[in-house]
Amino acid sequence: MSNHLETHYIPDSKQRERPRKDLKVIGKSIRRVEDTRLLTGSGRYIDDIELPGMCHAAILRSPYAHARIVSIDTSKARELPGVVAIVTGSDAAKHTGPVVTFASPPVEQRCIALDKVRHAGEAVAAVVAESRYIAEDAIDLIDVEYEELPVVATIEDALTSKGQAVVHPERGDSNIAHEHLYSFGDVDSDFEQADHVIKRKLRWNRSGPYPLEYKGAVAEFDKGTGKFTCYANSSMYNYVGWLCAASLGIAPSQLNIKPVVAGGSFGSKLFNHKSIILTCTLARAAGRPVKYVEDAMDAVLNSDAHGSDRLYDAEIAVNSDGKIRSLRFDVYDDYGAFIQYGYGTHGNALSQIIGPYKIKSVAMKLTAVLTNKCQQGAYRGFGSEVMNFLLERMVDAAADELGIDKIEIRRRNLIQPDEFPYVLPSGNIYDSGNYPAVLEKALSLIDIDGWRRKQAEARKEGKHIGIGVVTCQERSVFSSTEFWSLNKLDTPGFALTSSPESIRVKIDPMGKIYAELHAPFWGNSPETMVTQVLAEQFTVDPSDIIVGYADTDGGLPGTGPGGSRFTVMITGAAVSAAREIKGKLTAIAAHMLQVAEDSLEFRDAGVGVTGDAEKHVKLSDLAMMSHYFRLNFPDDAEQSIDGRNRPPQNFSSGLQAAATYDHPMTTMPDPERKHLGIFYPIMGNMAHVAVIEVDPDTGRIQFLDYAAVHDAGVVVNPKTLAGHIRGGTAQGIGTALYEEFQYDAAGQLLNASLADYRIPGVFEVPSSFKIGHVETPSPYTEYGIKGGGEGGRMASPAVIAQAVEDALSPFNVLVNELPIPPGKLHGLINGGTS
Amino acid sequence: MKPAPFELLTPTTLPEAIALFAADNEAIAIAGGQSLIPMMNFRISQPGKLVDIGRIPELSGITEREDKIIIGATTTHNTLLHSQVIKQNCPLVATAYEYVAHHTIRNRGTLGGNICHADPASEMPAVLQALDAEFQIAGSAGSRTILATEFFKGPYETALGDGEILIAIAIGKQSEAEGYAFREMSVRKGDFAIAGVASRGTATGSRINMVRLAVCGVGGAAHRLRQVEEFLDGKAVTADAISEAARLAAETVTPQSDLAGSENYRKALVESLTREALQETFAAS
Amino acid sequence: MNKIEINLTVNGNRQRANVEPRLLLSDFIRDGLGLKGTHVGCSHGVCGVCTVSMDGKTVRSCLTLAAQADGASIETIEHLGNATELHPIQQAFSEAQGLQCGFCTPGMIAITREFLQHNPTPTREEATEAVSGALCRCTGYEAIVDAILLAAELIANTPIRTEEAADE
Repeated sequence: MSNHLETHYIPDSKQRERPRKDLKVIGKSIRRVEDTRLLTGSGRYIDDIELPGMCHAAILRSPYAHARIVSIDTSKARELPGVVAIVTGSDAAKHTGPVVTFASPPVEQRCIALDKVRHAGEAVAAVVAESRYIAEDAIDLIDVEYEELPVVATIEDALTSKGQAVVHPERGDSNIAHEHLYSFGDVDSDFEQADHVIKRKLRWNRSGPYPLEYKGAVAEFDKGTGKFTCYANSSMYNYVGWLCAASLGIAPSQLNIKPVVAGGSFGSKLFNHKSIILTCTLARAAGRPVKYVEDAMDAVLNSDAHGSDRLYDAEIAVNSDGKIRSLRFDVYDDYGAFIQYGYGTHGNALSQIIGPYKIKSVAMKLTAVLTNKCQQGAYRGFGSEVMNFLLERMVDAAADELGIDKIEIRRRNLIQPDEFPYVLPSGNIYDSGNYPAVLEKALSLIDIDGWRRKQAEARKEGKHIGIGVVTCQERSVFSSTEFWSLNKLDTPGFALTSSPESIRVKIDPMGKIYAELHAPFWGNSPETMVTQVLAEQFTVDPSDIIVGYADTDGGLPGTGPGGSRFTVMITGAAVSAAREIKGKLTAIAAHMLQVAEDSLEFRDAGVGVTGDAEKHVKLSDLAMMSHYFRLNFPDDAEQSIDGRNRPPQNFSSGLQAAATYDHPMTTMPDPERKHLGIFYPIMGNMAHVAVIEVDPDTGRIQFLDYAAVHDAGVVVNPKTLAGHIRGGTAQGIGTALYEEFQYDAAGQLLNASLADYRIPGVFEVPSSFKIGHVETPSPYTEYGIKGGGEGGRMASPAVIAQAVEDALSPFNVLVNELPIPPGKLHGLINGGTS
Repeated sequence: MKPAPFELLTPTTLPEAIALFAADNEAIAIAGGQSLIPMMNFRISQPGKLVDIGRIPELSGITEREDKIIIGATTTHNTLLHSQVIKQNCPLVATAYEYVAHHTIRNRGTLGGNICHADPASEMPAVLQALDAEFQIAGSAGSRTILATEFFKGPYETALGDGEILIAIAIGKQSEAEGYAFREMSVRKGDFAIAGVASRGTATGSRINMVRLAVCGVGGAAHRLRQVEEFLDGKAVTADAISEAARLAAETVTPQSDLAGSENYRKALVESLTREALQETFAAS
Repeated sequence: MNKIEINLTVNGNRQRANVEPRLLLSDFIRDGLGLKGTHVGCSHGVCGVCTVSMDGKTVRSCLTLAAQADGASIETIEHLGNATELHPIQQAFSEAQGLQCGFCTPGMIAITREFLQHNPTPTREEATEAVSGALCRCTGYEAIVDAILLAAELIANTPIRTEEAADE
């Protein structure tokens, strides 16, 4: 182990439920619990919320990318019948401060721009009116005088711009927000000793999660108590709710955020802090409940939800036998005008920076810049999907240079099944895996040899088939250290180390189970996951479990769905809560059956003596007794039935438990950041295979075949996971081939509408898409489950790029930039004449 | 994304409609609204008065005459796509319809609305020019007929004068001897055309004696490729002639560069789409 | 602006209302009638999330004026099945997991219903074409196409009475 890892250690596993073969509900593709309400149009999304007296808000979006706000004349707008209130940035700033940011030093953002606008589409004023129609009418009547400032719209400009072109002058006279070299291991000597060094420059353009439902909130202010109630489709409402309260200048408990069903997030709704803070501010000003839901323009221009926007200058050091020694690169990331998650998307990259390969040293020089664009948010992969793309492209480049087959070079570098837990140079670990098995399974699903033959035949007819195979990591269950561990040592910022998840479980007098979550639904399947785990724990039928959602008033510590963490974390909490209740149920049953506790097991929706079919009490009876028949049981001070010294048994009425589960495997970064500690160890792995055909006349790409094999540890519901794999892969296809937010030199977004920002439709995804599973349990999580929600998007861009290069090798086309829509690909084929 | 306020009038007869347009030059006709309403939701378009012509019976329907088909302006795309009369007599229209928008849009969108909106990337303006269609127009000054080839002036610009509305589209029946084809390239299937080519023609003894080519999505309004037609007229149907015609087509168009494609890309598309369209048109020759 | 009186049938119920000319059908359904199952997405006719049935044909309710629905018969997702008795199409979507977040689902179901009424025994290619105008960001579409084919099967195996009951 390299010297830099000498302070590194791996704590013991906290796993309580071992992975095992005899599970009855976990591992089954049961029908989703969430479906019925959604299928019948009864899901309550944010725009479905109506409160008495509620009015509607619209925002005036800045037409300029960078400008001082000289004056705002709202007089005409105020006269429009139906207008309730108009709030400008300075109005809002009287009582509402800047909004959440994890950047340190902070990058200040407000829910309505104050003094200056920093990107086109930023809110300059908000109108509250009786209807959204009238609010928009009033918006048109507001006159704003702007003094334009120089616009910074490219990474290159951001690196050199000064003075008036600086987006956040309060941070210094530069648009470089952060610049730092993260080096782990003996990078320089690994490069010096390598047989070959291959260089490549790559560009990953910004796309975005673009769920079909946009962000929004409905807020109500109680003048009497000073308390806000806010419905919002925020994923992390329990994690950042208190920070929204801070922005509003109130105590955390003065803001109760109520979750709603959300129509997709993929990261875009992770914080959704602006909707919450804006509607609360407006409700306070208007004296009535206020609803604000983004429209299609808000949702791209002002969404705080664009994806990574990166330029890489990379080199990979390899030996002649294809073994990779080291990887180093400069990465420039255009964050837009704000930086809400700090440099977390690069911390994320460092969690799996070596991919599934035995690479001993890595160096990443990060330069984060500010520009006059909408800021980045979280997008499925949170930066690791870009890292996967980079690494796989470099491995492909090495394979080309060395003349080694692209599958073979991967095989030669894969971490082997007996090498876990594997410690990365960056300090994170890979908990478990069987990378060769995943690759082989993927190759078994596609007849590569057959396609190679077809490819050769097709070439003779001037048709271009290409095959791609990639092996990538999909980390799950983030630790919060990734948000700050990349900050400079003298400005660590908010160095939080908690990212818990909680659950409350109650068994009612009829023996039915109610579980309350502290994180919302957005298309993940949290209720189904919890139902399956609790059904397994209590041996009940899934239909005897109902799941609900707590607001922040009732909420226990929760982080929410993100970073593919939720299933693992809620399972941990559910196991804790279940164990507590099961302990009590066991004592009750032991007393009722007059047997020793350790002779009992849970089976058939009840508790019975192991090996004795007769001696069994149903959960419904146990529950009724527990709730309403206290005097049937001993006082707490008495010994239990078998006379052994036991702690006093708890027979108090009722059956419920609340449990908070913290990240099961995370450690602090080294104080000097020689390594980043363990922060994302629950590591999934995947292999994707793509067979495509490129039409060189048009640049159009068609999928001929596709396979994805994911190892997400023990899988709770294979069908829901398969759905995420397909959906994620589709988003990756969008990123690779169609989606790019295109800004011009004036910072104007040229393709804001869905007609021009092209999301894949049914014809853009493979019609033949085989999915395979490999399950290598985690040693650290309950049942060995790993997260797998993000994965598809984290591999498909890389595999498509490789397949396209393979298809177009007669044309010497290199895919160094994404996306490659037909026009662009046609240009590459024709040597840049397009 | 809500429209600005407007007045809505819904005449039920053609004379009523014409009178409303005569009374107010600024009034805009709406039928299916599939092109207009998105623009109104964006507030790019803020008409003060809309006249809904979708409830005038005589403006809708397909009538077969001896040598031509008359299509009412407010006939929906799907009615046309599924019409046996169209399939049998104007198969180029039926074929091109596979590329027009999507099913649900086609349920409401009308051929007349599409034509009058004159989006340069729309397919039907090219198809109708290839078919030498004629448009019947009515206004307070009376009725007139205009050739499709003279109707499309520029992007979103037509020859309709103040107070005039499109009543019907007349298409001569395609002869059974005709070959025809429509080819389009779009970023995703169903998107607006980056470039599209409509073609029809006949050849006798493998010599071309009639050919019509029209292009959409490529610089300005959809238009005929008359130079290419002239080149092909009388020529033997050979691979070389078709390739040369395709090359000439690419040369003569003056495409724009935009987000969907550069000028060079569009020219290249015109060449390959023209070649494919001609190959299919004259496949039997 | 003068309001316009409209008379229409929604999910079998007669409705009369006075609406602004500019009121979109989507907003009339959701706010005027309180039927929240029809969702609003892009509001410019691309995503298909707002799709409902008007006189038996699918339309994008964000691209239709409420006034243009005068005299029409509108059917929304609320008309099809309920929590205790799902329509075969709803059942199929659930079994095939043709939904994740559910936002596009009412629109997809409307499209499926119209499609299967005209083509009760579709091929996979035809079912794929049927949803080509509507977007889903969650599923990657394959499960939706599976759902349509499964729905066709379930409808074929179901007594006609179920279809009629849903239309009442």
